[in-house]
Amino acid sequence: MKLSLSELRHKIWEPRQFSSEDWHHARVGPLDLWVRRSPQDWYVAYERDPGREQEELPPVPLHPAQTSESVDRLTWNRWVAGEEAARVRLVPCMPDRAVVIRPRYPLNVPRGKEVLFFVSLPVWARVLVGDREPMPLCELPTVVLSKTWFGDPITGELCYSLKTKVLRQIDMLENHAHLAVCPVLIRNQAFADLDFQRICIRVEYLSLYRGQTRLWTNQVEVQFHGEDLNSTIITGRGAPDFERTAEKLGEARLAPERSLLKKSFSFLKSLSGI
Amino acid sequence: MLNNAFRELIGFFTLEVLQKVILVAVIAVVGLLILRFLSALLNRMTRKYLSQQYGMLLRKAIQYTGAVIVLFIILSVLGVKITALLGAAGIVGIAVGFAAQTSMSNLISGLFLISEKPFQIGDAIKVGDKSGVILSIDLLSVKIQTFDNQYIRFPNSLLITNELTNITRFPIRRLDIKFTVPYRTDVSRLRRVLLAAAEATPNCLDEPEPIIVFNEFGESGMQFLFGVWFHKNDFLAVKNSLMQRIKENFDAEGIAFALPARSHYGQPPGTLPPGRARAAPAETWGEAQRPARRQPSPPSAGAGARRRAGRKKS
Repeated sequence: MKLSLSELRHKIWEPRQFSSEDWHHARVGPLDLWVRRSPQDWYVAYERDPGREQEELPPVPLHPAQTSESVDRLTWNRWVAGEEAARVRLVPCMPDRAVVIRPRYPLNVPRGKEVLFFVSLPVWARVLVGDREPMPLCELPTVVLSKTWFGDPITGELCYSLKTKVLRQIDMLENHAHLAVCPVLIRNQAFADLDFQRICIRVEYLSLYRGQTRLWTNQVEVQFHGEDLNSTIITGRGAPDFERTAEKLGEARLAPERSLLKKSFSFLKSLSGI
Repeated sequence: MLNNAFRELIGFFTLEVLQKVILVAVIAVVGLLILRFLSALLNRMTRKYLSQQYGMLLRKAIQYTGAVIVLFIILSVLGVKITALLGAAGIVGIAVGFAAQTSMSNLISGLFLISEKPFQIGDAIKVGDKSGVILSIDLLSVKIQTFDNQYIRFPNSLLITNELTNITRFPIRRLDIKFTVPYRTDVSRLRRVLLAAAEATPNCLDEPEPIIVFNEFGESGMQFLFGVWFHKNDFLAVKNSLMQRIKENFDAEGIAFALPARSHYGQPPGTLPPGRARAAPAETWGEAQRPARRQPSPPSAGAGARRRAGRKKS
């Protein structure tokens, strides 16, 4: 029976029972993942095809690999686990540091106005083994994002950088298994227009939810108070309301705080004069 | 004879002397134990508030001061007059002071370094042509472990008087790559290729943006500086992967590096007026490698005359 695309997307994050000496393969976006089990150890290998980031290739849930041709080609990592640990599960999680979104065009939000837009963020796949208390083996980014510096060269912070479309309609968003949609609401509460080139999303505070067709994160509200002031970041509680059923798949890395005061916008194009 | 010496020795250890010896031993052992305990206690209490450097300094101050106090207590138990000792110590101090000028200079420099805090334990520094990670900052010297795992001790006075670079003081750094390309290179394409190389290297920061500076029109070609920013922990990863990627991209795009090379065009002497020698265009590596063809130069009148004159002489 052939599964539909949305069923495959659901199945990726479902647990799989392993018998001894099994080895399985899965594909999430550009990430190919192999999991092997020997009687007491687990082995994980992966490779990425960056050219597949934009392609609409169907995701592949964990399934027994047909041939062992790639075993020698891959670089395996090994973990010691008890004999009882036979269940493997891939869990989506957000990147381990904030992501700076670089919209294609600078965005202008007039004073007193608010705007809701959606960004697609590539998730990481966490490999868990075991039944009762699952043991995390590793976390693998589906897409390797380049690094960027947000803030001034002395007190800023290291973030990931993502060039993506900032869209107002959900329908226009790409729907890939490795992307989660983050609704961002910007409220301009300053006395001036907000014209920014970068926005920093604190993804460590976001959980992941499975909607009917997509992965979702909590909604993020950013209140802009002025260029020299920190913005108020409010992380929404629970799944956003854009799709009816939304089951929580992955917990946030940091306990979500109701509101944070942090720098969120970047107005300077570069610091290349330094 | 031996018997007499033994008897004298036994006679010396009277009950009173034995009591003193035991008392001194007890004071020394207990004193040192208390010092150790105090030092550990203070270390634990101040770990959160003081840097590693200040913690170490505090521990040493307690240990040395405590050791001097224990010594004075022992001397007073033994009946040594401390005032006389202090007087003598003053005279000895002057003598030692003259002898230990360098050490004093280091000590004072150490105090300046500790108060100024140009670096801390774990920072990577560069002094002269030596660089490494700081292992300890003491009153007399700073010890570093070089990147090829050698141990270097810098006297503090040297660090005060010389230029010192703290490589890892700030969280991000810029890697500057300087190179020269031949004059025929398309500069716009070169810029695109360089930026693509930085973009394809995940550890290169995309902000602050990479910089490309057209430095000058050099003797062998156009000189550029390509600067990319990176997090201080990623130095080796960035340097290796970016250099390799630039080379690969250059090869793929047919961009060559210019090497110091010149083409010489042979001209019969006397055919060019003096001062008309043209600057030779710079050539690429490939061209420079070509075996130079010797220009067949017609025998000049002067040379022939010299040869003929030589034959006549012989």
